[in-house]
Amino acid sequence: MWQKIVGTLIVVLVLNFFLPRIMPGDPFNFISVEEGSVTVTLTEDQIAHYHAYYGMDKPMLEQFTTYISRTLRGDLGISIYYNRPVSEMIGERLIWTLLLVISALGISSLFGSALGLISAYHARESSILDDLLLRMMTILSEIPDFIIGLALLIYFGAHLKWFPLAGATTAFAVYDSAFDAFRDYVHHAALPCLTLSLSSIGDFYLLSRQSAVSVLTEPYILTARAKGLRKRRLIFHHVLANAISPILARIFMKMGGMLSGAVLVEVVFAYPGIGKLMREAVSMRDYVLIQGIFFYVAVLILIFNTAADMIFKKMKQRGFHEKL
Amino acid sequence: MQPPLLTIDALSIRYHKQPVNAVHPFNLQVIAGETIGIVGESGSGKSSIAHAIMGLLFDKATIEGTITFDGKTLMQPDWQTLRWRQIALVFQNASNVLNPMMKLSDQVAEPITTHLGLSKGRARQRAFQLLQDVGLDSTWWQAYPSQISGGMRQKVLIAMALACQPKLLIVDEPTMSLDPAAKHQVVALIQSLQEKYHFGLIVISHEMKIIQHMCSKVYVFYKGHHLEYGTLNDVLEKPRHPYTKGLIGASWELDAHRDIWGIPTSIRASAASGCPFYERCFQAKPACAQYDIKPLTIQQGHSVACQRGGIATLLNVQALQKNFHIRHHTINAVSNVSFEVKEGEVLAIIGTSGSGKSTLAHLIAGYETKDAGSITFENSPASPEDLMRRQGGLQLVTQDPAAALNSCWRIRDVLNEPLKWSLKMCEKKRHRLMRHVLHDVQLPSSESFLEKQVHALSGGEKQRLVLARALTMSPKLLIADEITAMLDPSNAANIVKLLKAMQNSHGFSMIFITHDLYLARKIADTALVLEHGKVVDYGPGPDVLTTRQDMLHHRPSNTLSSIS
Amino acid sequence: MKSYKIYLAIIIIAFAVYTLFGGTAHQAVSGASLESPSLTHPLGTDDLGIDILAQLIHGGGYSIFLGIFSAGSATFIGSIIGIISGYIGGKIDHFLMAVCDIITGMPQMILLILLGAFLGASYLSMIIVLAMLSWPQTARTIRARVLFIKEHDYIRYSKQMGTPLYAIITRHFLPPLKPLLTLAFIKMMSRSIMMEASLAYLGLGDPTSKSWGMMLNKAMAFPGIYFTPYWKWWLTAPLIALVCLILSLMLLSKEIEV
Repeated sequence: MWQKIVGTLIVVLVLNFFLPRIMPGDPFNFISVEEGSVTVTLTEDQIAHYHAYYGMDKPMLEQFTTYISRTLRGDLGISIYYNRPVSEMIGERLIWTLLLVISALGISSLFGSALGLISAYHARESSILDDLLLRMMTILSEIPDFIIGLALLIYFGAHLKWFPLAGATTAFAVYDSAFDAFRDYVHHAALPCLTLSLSSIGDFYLLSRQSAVSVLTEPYILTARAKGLRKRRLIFHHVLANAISPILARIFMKMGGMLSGAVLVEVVFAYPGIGKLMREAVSMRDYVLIQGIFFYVAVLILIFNTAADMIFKKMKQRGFHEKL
Repeated sequence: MQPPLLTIDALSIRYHKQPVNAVHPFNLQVIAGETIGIVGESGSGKSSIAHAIMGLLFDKATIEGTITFDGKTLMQPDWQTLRWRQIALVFQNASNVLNPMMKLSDQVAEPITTHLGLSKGRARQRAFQLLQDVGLDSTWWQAYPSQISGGMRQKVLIAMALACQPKLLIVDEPTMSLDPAAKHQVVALIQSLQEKYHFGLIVISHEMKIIQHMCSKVYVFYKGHHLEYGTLNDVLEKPRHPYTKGLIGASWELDAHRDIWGIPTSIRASAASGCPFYERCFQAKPACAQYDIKPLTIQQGHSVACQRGGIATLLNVQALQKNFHIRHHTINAVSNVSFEVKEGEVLAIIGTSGSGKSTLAHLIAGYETKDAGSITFENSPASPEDLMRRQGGLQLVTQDPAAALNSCWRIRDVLNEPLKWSLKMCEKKRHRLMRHVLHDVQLPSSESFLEKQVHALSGGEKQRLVLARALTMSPKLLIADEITAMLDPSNAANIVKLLKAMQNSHGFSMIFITHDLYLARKIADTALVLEHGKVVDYGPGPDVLTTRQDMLHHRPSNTLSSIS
Repeated sequence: MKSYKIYLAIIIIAFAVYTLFGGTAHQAVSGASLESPSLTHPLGTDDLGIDILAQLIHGGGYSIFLGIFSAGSATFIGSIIGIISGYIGGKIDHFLMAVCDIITGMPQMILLILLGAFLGASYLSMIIVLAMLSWPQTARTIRARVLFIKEHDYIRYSKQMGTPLYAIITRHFLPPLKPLLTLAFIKMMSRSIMMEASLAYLGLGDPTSKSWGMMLNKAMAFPGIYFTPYWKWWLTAPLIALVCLILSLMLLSKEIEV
C-alpha cells in the first residue's frame, strides 16, 4: 500500500515537473486557445515570469530539487494570471467542490443502495419494479455527467427557470438571516449536486443490487428465513450487514471519479469550485495554477483511495470474496 | 552337505520331427527328502521333464544331457531297473490314466509283483496296506476306476506310485480338477507320506498355492526354458523374472484381496530368436530379441534368465524434499521420501488429504520443482521434462479431469498436443495413433467424436480422455493421482478396472495414489504410506496393507466413542 | 438487427460517404448564421453559418474512430501486459501491477486536462493519451483471467510436454480471453468517446475538429444561448447524438456480456 502511495506521489511530481519542460518549442509562446471569441496570448512579461518561475536557465537537477522542496513545503507557486498564491486560491475553491461532491456522494450512495436493496429483494420474482429500476440505473450510469448537467440546466434552469443558471450564491446578495443564506446556497447547489448524484447513483445502485442479490442466495439467509424472522430484521440484520461493506468501500473509491466529474459539472453550472478554477486556468494558460490543481486533486484522491484500500483489507480479513 | 539324489545336467528334449526343443538345456537337483517345484503355464514342458526323468521318451524324442541318479549317470538301459522301483511318477489325474477294466488293488499290486518279485497274494496285501495309507476307504479297494471319484483316483495314483517305495517321487499336477477340500487332503497326504518314506519329491504344477505349500525350492519354466530358480520365499516374495511375477499375479489363491490379472498374451510382435518371453514381457528392450537366455545367479541360490538381470528398477526416488512457505510458516509437504518403482509394478501411495501425496506426484512429473533429492529413471538421472516429453517415459493423470483438459478444445486437439509438440509426429501417424488410444480407453474413435468439444463429455469420459492422452506417449510409468476422486462409484470402478487392465496389457508401471485402502489392496504390488509428508510404512502391498488395517476403521470408531 | 446497431452503422456509413465525396460542409459557411432548421439545412446553422447536420455527420465519425483507435491500442497494450504479468508473475507482475495501480489512482480527467493544456490536443495525441490511461483496466481483467487459467493442470501439462509458448498462448489463453477483450474494447471505446467529448466541451479538444464535444462547447460559449431558441437544434442535436452513441455502445456491450 505504501508502495502505491509513494509511487503515485512520485509520478505526480515528476509529471508536474517535466510537462512544462518537455513542451514542444518554447512552451510559452504556445498560444492556441479559442475561448469562444477570446484569444489568449502571453505577453513578454508573462513569458519572462514563467522562465524565472520554472528556473529554466538553471541546470535540470537544480530545477528539480528546488521544485521538490518547494512542493513539499506546500508552496505551489504564484498564479500568473491572478497573481495570488496557488494554494490559497485552491483552498478557497475547494470548499465549494467538496460541498458538492460530499453531498452528492451522500445522496447517491444512500438512495442508490436503498434502491439497489429494494430491487434485489424483488429480483427473485422478476418484478417490473426491479426491471424498470435496473434499466434506468444502467442508462444513468453510462451517460456522461456533463450531459446530464446540460440537460438539467436546459430544462430546469433555462426552460422552467426554477433554478439559477450559474454561480454558488446570488451576486451582491445581502442575507437577512443565516437561514436565508443557507437557502441561497442550496438553491444554487441543487442542480450541480443533483447532476453529480444522478451520474453516480447508478453505480451505487448496481453495486448494492448485485451485492445484495448474492447475499440473498447465501445459505445463512435461508437459515434466517427458516428461523421465521420478520422481513425488517432479515433485511437489516442479515442482508444489509453483509452487503454494506463493498458499498462503503465504493464510496471512497468513487471520490476520485466524482472530483473529475465535478470539474465538468462546475463548468456547466459555472459553479465556483475547483473545476471552474481549472477551466479558468486552462483558458488563461495559467500553467502554475493547473499544476497546482492537479497536485491537490491527485493527493486528495490518493487519500480516499487509500481509505478504500483499507476497507477492502478489513473485508478480506473478515472473509469476503474478492469478487468486488 | 547331503549328496544329491538326482542331478540333471544340461538336459534337453526334442520330440522327433519337431523343429525346436520341447525343453531347452537346464540343470536341476533333488536331495533326498527334499521337495522341489516346477511351475509354468501349460505347454511349458513340465510333463516332458517328468517323462524324461522316468526315461519314457527315448522312442519319441532326442534327449541330450545327463541325468545322474544316486551317484550313477543313467544310460537308456538303466531305467529298466530304476523305473518305478527307484523313481516313480504320479501321473496327471485324467479319466483314462487307470485301466478301466482292472480292479484298483490289482493295478496298485502290479508293480510290486514286477519289481519286488512278491507273490500275487502278498502283493495284494501290500497294495491294501498302501491304499489304506493313502486313506482310501476299503469299500473301494476292489472297485473299478469308473466307479470312483477324481479325488479317490488321485489317491490310487499316489498309492500306485509308492508301491515299490521309490527314492524319488514325481507328482504331475496332483491337484488338478479337485475341489478345495480334496486338494487340501491330497497335499497333506503326500506330505505325510514323504515324512514316512523320506523320498525326494518333484512337484509339477501350475498352481502357486500347491507349490507354496509343498516345496522348498522352485524352478520356473516357460516354453521349455528355465527362467528362474530359487527358494520358495525368494521366488514368491521377491520374484525376479517378469514371467514369475505374472504367474503370481494370476494366482488368486495367494491373496484374497487382490484383483487377479493374467499375463498378457502379447504386448509386442514376437521375436524370431532371443528371449522366449520377449513378446509378453513388460520390460523387454530391443536387445532382448537377440539375447540367448542363460541363468544368471543374482544371489546365493537364486538365478534368473533375463537379459536385464531380472525385474529392473524403473524409477528411483531418493530423499525427495519439498517445502512450501506460506507467510511465516514452512510446511514440509514432502520430507525425505525415498522409494523405487520396478518395471511392471504397481506402487500404491496411500495417505489422507494433506499428507503430501499429490505434491509427491507433482514433483516427479515436474509440475512442482523439488527442493532436494534425486530422481533416477532406468538408472540414469532424468529431468521430469525429458521424461514427460519422450515415449517410454512417464505421464501423470491428475485428480480433476476438468482441470486437466481445456474444455474449449476438441478431442482431436487434446490428443494432438503431445503427438505434435513432444513427438513431432506427422499428421497421418498422429491420426492413426489417436484412434488407437481412444479405442484402448473404450471411447469411440469416430471422426465425429474427434470433432467433439471436451465440455460435451461426462466426467468419466473426460478421465478416459486424459488417460488416452497419457497413453499416446506409451509411458513406462504412469502416475495416477486420485483419478477417481471426482467420479461416482460406478464410473470410478470402471476407470480403475480399465487402468489396471491397460497397465497389465501395456506392461507399464504405475504409481497409484489414493486415500482408499480398499482400492489400494485390490491393485497394489507395493504400498507406501505417507503421513505429513513422511514415509511411515513401505513394503510389499499385502504386508503394509494388513498392518495398516487400522486406517480403515480408525476414524469412525473415534467419532463414535467421542459421541457416546 | 437491433436499432442500436443500425444507429452505429448509420454513423459510420454517413461519415464514410460524407468523407469519400469530399464533404467540406462541416467547416464551410453555407448559409446565414443561426438559421432555423429548413430543407437546405435540416438542423439549421451555427453562429458562423455552418451547417449543423454536416458537423454532426463529421463529428460522429471523428468520435467513433477516435474510440476505435484508442480502445484498440489500449486493448492491445492491456492484453499483452496482462498476459505477461499473469503468466510470468514474480517481480515483473509486481511492477506492472504497481504501474496499473498508479495510473488508475490518478485523477484521470484532470490529468487529461493537464496533458491537453501542456501538449495541445491533436487527434493522434488524444488517441495516445486515452490509450495510455485506459490500458490498466484491461490489463487487470486479463491478468486475473490468465492467473485463473494458469492454475489449471492442462497448462502445466502443456508446459511439461514442451508445447511452445506461442502455441500455449494462442491455443489456451487467447480463446477464453476473446470475449473479455471484446467487452473491454467496447467499454473503453465508449469511455474514450466520453472523455474526448468532455475534453472538447472544456475547450481542450483538437481545435481543428468538429467533434460533438466541440459543437457543445461552441454552443455553450454562445452568450445567452438559453435565452434564445437556438439551443433547440444547436445544443440538442449533438447532445442527443452523443447520448444515443453511448447508450448504443452500452447495449452492444450488454449483449456481449450475456
